[in-house]
Amino acid sequence: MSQIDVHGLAKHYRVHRKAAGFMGSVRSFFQRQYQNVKAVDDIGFQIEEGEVVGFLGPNGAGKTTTLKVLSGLLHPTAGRARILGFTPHERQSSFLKQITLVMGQKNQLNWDLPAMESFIVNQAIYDIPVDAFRQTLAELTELLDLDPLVDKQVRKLSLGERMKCELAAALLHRPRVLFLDEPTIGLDVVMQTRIRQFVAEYNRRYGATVILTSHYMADVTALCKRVLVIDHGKLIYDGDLRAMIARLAPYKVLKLILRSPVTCEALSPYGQVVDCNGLRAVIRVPRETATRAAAQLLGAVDVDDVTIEEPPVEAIVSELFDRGQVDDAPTQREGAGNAP
Amino acid sequence: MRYLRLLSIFYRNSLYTEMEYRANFIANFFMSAFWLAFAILGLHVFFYHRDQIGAWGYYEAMLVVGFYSLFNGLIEALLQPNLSRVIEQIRMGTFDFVLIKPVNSQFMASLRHLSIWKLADVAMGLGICVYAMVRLGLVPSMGDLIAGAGFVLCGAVILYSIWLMMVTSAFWFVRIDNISELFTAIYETGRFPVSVYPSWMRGVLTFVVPIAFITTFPAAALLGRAKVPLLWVALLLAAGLFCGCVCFWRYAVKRYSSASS
Amino acid sequence: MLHKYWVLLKVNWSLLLEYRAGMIIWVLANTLPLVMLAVWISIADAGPVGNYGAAEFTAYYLALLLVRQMTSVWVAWELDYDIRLGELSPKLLRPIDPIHNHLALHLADKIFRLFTVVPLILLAAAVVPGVAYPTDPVTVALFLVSTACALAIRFMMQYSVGLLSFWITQSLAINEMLYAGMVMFGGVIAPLELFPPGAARLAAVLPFRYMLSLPVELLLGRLAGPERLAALGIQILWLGVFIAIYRLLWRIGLKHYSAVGA
Repeated sequence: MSQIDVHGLAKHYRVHRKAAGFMGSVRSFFQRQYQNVKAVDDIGFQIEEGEVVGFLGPNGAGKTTTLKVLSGLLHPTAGRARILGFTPHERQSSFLKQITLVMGQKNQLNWDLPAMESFIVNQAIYDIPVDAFRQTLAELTELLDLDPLVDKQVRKLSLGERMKCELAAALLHRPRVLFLDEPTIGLDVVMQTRIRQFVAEYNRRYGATVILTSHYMADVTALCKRVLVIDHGKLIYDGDLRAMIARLAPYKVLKLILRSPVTCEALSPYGQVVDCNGLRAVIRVPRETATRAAAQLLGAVDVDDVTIEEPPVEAIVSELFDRGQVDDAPTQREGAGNAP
Repeated sequence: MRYLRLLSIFYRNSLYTEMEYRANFIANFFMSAFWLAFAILGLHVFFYHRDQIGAWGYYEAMLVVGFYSLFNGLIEALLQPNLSRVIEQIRMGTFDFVLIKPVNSQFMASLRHLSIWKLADVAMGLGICVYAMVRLGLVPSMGDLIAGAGFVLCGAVILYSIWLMMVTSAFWFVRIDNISELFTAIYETGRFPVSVYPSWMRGVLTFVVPIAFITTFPAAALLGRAKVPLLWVALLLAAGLFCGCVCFWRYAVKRYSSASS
Repeated sequence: MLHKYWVLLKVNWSLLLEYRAGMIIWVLANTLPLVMLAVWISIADAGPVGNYGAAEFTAYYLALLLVRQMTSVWVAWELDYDIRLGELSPKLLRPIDPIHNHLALHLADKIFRLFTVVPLILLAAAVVPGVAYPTDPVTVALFLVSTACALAIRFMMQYSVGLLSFWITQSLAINEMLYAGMVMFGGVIAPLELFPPGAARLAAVLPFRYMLSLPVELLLGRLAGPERLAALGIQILWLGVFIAIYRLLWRIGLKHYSAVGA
């Protein structure tokens, strides 16, 4: 059986609808009107041990709710989730000791104390034997460069340093499944890269399963081979990230730098001209003909430089949400054979 | 065992944190002294006009003041800091970190922090009790001492249970962060022996909000006035309230994870 | 200036209604006078205490409750918060002294209580047998003036204590001590006339009587004619003292604040 096995999972909320105005508030005091919100609506997928999977979706799509159901913080309204053979919302000790949750916007470390003290608290909470604790801590210290940080009070650390300590605190018990909710939010680019490298390295070293949500496409493209795209509580894509890009964007982008100005009309036979102003031009060409088009352009126009690029992932994904689903392969698990 | 170890780590950390704010110690000490002076001045005014109030003499009533101060210290040191943090965690969404730990959530939420300096009240309360007993020339029998200790223990459990229920109500009323003020207002009545109050209030303070069990009865036990059946009632009440607060907590946590967003 | 106040009042009024759930608890939690009333009635069962029987105690504590509701102040907490978290800086940029906004919030609160809590207390006073207050215009006028003064003293005192946050982290503890002082010597635990003589003389000198007890004493007609004016004089004197302290602390505090750049 897969390490994570989810079938027909749903989470609905009853939201109290408030009427506007004074009379409205009086009326709703006596007769409450509720609205059923389907935060997660009939989702199913399997994840194998050691996979790194990214959850994509716009704000309010149901990513965090799914993550909370999987980690046992929320009861599902319907459906079934099995993780490591456990039912998450029963929150058995032996289950909780094998998972962890990191929320980029919330911290669990004690603000007034050095991070080391919070590590010791977690050692006791997770019943970690002293030897294992020392060893894990040493390894995390090396991977995350914690040495100069752990003895400073958490409130004196920068946001990025604090995130490093949060990660360490969350991983001391060597969890087999990691739920990372926006782990890089608010960090600068250098620190984002650093955290990303760490997660990749941790996954490689310990074979832990990682489920990640992020606003930053770069997190997902750097870490995840496989993505689950959620929108309005529904799973609209599950599969290989690259395949999704190829399907959604069956074109590549040619960027030209010209020696002498050319009109847009002169370029249009080669593809769809997105931008052209004098000495620069951007053209979308079908994937299959991209190389040929580039070669023809080199012969036909006075080109200084030409590059062939993949379209930006952000644009693709936002296009996906606008459309609502991936054509011809909705919710089909297609990267199944690629799982490590 | 594991839970005892956790408690010791929690409280060691609280101690470290509080060491940073040493000025708090002096401030709390003075505050305790002020409030004690107030309670004693109150007694003075009563006994300036009467020899006895509610069949209690001056130093006997002072014993009640001592227990009032002792339990007040426990409230402020142990219960209040955890209450305000749980409410904050529920509001900020960090309560999830409590739920995801492989440790009893009620234990984690209600006993995590200790405001060590507020224990000044406990020390002063004990001091007042000893002083009053010396002035009374009171040497309680072994049985009375055990009964007194039993009442103190029951009182602590009763207090804890009532507080936990208030904490739990925060799952519903997140906006009301000063809910503890209501209890404090009722707890004020514990400054004086319960027999000082009109009979209907006595009933309320014994059976509805059992403040009498917290401050009056331990003092009565030391004075040899509390009969054994009363101790059984106290034990029963403490056990019942404790079970009640555990059930309420479980229900609230379950509801939190099935309905909240 | 009057127009500005009108605007500030309106803003703070809607702010107040936002927080009414918490406010109602604050109002309900204000029970100490009632607890003391219960104790005194029970004691007076065996015969009057000094000049006070059960009816007099009831009249006294209902009036005290009323004055306490109309003079409640919490500005020390707000100032402490603003100064500690640096929220004061943007407020200093506005072309109006921050004290006016705080004052407007407290006035809005008093209007709120005037229409919610005060009628309840008056109703209780009307229903309980034997409780009657003098209605002659002089007494009522003196009562109103003295209550307003009491509110002003409490406000200025707390504002001064709140300003101490410029220098120390424990200003709220000091505020709490002063509150304890008011409970002791402001007439909450007992009418000041029932105090042992030494304590009563001390209470007459300390500022606490003028923050709570004096309006009640005036309303109950417990003071003779010349005494009334003398007491009012002392009350105004204390108000002056606290205004002076406030202005001093505000001036040097601001200098300190901008120098440290908190």
